[in-house]
Amino acid sequence: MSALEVEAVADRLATHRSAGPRHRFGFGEILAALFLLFVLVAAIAPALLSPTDPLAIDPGDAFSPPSLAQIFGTDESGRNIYSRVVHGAASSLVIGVSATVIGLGLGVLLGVVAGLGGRVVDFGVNRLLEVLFALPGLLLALFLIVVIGPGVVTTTLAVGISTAPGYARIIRAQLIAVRSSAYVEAATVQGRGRWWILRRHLLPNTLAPLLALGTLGVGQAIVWASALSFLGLGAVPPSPEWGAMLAAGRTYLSSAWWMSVFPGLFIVLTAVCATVLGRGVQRRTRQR
Amino acid sequence: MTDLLRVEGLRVAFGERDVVRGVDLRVGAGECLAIVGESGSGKSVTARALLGLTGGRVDADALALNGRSLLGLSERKWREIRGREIGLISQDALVSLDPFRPIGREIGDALRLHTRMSASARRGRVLETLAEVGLPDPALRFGQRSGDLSGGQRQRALIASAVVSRPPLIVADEPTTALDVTVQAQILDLLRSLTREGAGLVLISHDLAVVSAIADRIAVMSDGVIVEEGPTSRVLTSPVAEQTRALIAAVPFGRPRGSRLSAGGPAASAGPLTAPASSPTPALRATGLTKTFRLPGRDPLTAVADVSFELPAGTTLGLVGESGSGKSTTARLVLALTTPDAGEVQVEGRPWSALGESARGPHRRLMGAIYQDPLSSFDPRLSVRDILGDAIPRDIADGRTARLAEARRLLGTVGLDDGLLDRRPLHLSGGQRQRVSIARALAPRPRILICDEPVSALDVSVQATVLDLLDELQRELGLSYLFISHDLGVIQHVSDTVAVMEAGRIVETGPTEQLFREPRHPYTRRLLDSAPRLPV
Amino acid sequence: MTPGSTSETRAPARRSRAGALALRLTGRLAGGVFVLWAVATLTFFAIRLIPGDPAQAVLGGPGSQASEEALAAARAEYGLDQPILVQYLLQLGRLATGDFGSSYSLRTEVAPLLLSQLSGTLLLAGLSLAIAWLLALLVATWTTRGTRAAEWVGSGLEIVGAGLPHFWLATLVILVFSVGLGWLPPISTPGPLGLVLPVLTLAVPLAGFLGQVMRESLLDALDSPYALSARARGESETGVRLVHALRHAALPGISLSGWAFGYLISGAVVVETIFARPGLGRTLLNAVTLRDVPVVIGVVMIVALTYILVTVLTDLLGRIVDPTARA
Repeated sequence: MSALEVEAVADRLATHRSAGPRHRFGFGEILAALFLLFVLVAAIAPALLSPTDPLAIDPGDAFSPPSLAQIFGTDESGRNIYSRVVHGAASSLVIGVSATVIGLGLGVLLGVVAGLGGRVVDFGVNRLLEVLFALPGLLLALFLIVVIGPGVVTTTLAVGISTAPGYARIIRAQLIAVRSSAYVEAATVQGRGRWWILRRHLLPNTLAPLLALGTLGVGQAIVWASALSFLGLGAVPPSPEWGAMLAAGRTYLSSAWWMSVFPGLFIVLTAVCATVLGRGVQRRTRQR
Repeated sequence: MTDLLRVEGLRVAFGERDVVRGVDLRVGAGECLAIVGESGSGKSVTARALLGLTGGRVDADALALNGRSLLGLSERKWREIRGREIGLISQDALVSLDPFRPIGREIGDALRLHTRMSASARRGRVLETLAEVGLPDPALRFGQRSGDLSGGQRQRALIASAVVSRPPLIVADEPTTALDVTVQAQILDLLRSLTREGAGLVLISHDLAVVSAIADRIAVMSDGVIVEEGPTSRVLTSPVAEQTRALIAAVPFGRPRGSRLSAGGPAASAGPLTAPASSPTPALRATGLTKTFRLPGRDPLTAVADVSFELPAGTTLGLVGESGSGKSTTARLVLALTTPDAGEVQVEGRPWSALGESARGPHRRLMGAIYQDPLSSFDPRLSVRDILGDAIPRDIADGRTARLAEARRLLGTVGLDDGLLDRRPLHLSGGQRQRVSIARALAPRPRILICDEPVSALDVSVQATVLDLLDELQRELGLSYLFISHDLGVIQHVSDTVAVMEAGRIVETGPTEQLFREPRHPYTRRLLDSAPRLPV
Repeated sequence: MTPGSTSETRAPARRSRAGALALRLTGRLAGGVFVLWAVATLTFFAIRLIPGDPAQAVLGGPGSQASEEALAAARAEYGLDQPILVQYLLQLGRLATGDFGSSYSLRTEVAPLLLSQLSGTLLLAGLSLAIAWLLALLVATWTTRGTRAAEWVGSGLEIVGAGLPHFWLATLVILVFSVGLGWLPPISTPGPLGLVLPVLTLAVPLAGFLGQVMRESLLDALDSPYALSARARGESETGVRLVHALRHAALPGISLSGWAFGYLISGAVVVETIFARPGLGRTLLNAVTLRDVPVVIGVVMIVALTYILVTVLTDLLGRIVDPTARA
């Protein structure tokens, strides 16, 4: 669903370049980390960053453009958009992280089963993945929504399940590469058993990229979950979820641009920062 | 002064690093100058600088071709020189020719770029050149891609692409390194014939023996400078520079078993090794080993056919053959990484390949292995300490401190400092990696080592130290080696007995000295004739 | 030694290329039929998971208040009184003959409805894919020129892909080009002008992803020994790109085009909704909102079929670009 396939291809291309100079955390990565920290604080203790109530209505102050008092402006009911964005971080982040955990979990399970289960199991899992790939991201998510019904839980589940095939494919490829590596063979020559090799070499090396994949994945999961909310199938207004806020602002796009732009900006910045940080983590994992 | 190429004070720097620091070269028409040096000596960068293709900062006091200065040429002018005045032949034709394009078009490109010849005239010239470089059936080859050709054929095609527009100067950068010895000899012949027709040749190589066959003059390069230059026979017989002497000393061919190749360290115990007559049972016995690979859509390939040999305890059996002869498959069969279709391997008189993995597992510590590419045989996450720690069996050292002490001892055994314990293999040099891999193989105190091309990827000087180390270890620990190599010189130096493999079969076996003196099988004779060696 | 590394006699052993391609094509199509069957099966049994009366589920779920006659008609149409295996086989048979049933919300046959919507979406996706490819090639070529600025832009390509989700980019382009500048309609009118903003929205992020991958492989190709040989022959940098490198660089882009198509279909749901453009995506979204099961299954089947065809095509294209690929 996300850019995982691109991920897999780019990964294959970039590996041989990894022996270059040691990677340092750059300026961009520090900025990205700071922004994500802001989002994290907003999610855990929103009151710290915005004391105003995100649901407080003030019809007399509707559609105010951004000003010093209300830096992101107000919406059609006079609610403070900055406050809503800050208070919306929690639900967006929870959805994004949970969806990634579901996707990665399923992906690792499928990938490991395929990579270790022998030829028949591998064949079966591969066909299953092919079928899932024939239902591109959003389509699979929409189908799940038809079956389970719309809502935040469904959205999370749908995003998670539809990212799983991508993760599974990466994990499987990684596992197969490690399994046929010369160091696993060297361990066999030393007389090590299957379980020892699994524990010492296969799992650690296969799962090493998980942290980077997860970081990249959370950003993309938030984007896709927001897309579903935007389409009216996830969180619904007036709950301060970023995608839902963006959808609510759409009606007033020509008169009150700030209603759409600020929630959208937070979705996008979160995704971008997660990508930048994920790439940094990835380069470091590879270079050890 | 009829120098075709004249270079004075050539310097190349990448950023802060000076890679070439003041090199002088002269090449006349019809002359072959060889530049010899180890990896990192700056020889390849020098070669590319002659074509203006290095990148980095290049300057020189003089760089002239046929009296015309090439200094300060614009990129556009350089393009007129490349391919027309200077041709480049590089190492591996499989990737040095565009794998997607027919070789005929690759070769014709130099004509397309430098002449106004019509497409059909170009085709005629390409076919002519293909015939000249000795490719049979040029019309068929014209449409084939580098992947369709054998190693020797595609190297000929690559040479054709460099000489098709008859450049007066040819630069050849390791042109035979990826080739089998018999093919290498043919390609060297072809290069020699080019100089006979009047071309000047700059031949870059790491291998003194290879260039001695065709070079008129040799320049030895080390650390960005030429340390010695002179006529081939003079350089080889009375070398002046220390680096040249080391290079010559490191060549294993013709050096008796047990003599040291590297300088320094304790002198080896004199005299050839006599096998300890302690054990009448051979360390390793293979009988009638056969292995056939069946791949979908291909004819089945019998990689190993009815191979039998014996490795007497405490000795070295050298297994020599060209690529595809089945020697690595034999190693895998002996290591029980593949199951033979027929035949059996016995270790110290007991069944080995016939056992199930669970029955064999506990006995695997009898046999260690070292590989051509040690880096890939280490888990990239692990440090040297962990790699060795994993390999030490519990009954030898149990507990953290005991294992650490044992790891230190092993490093000492292979001549490494224990400061390397916390390094990851990626941050070690090639020689250090191979030593760590030997230490790992020795950890369970094996009695047999399977050495699969263990020195093929190393510089000759490093190769010499690793071979010396293996020799010492064998004396001290009474190890038996199955030593696999494509390099006859290495095989001759390390082996007590030699087995020659061709197309999956062992065609000749015999005591090393006898086999090298009186080869009986025609293939052995052909191998010996092709093997590059220093004139004595 | 890898088996078969001896290549002295490889040439005669090679099958004719046309034959190999035909064989490959047959294999891929057979695989495609399997995938379609699996998708049909999966959707059939998944729909049975919807709690309550299956007739009700087909007609929009418990909240739809379908009339008793409609429920009876649905039961008859789908054979809901039969054993589940019979229902399954009936469903497979109908799908195989292109009969997707009828939409209760639109009161029309599903198959003709979707067919009429398909062309608009395919046009949108196809055009966006072509433009994304063009942009990616241009950007990849430009960012490998070696200048600092080019490097910087090149390393930021992925950000473009990740940071411009369709719903956001669509919002921005409407704000800028419709609300701000007033150049283009915010709603997709028929005709080429109405296509500009939707295509832009779909193509730019995709170009970011494709460009990133192509840039990587172009860098590889420019660094390769055959590129060195070409330069040593006197080829110019432009020549090295045109004659050699771009062909190699295109390969991973081609193999990603199947994925890209899926990405565009996902994007079409969003873009068609925002720009109020008729098409498969908007039809699907409406059907999902109303739980119009026959329409949803129809779209799923059509997209799966198209996806399979696209992957087969890109596979063939890849083989034409890379003649050394093995069957």
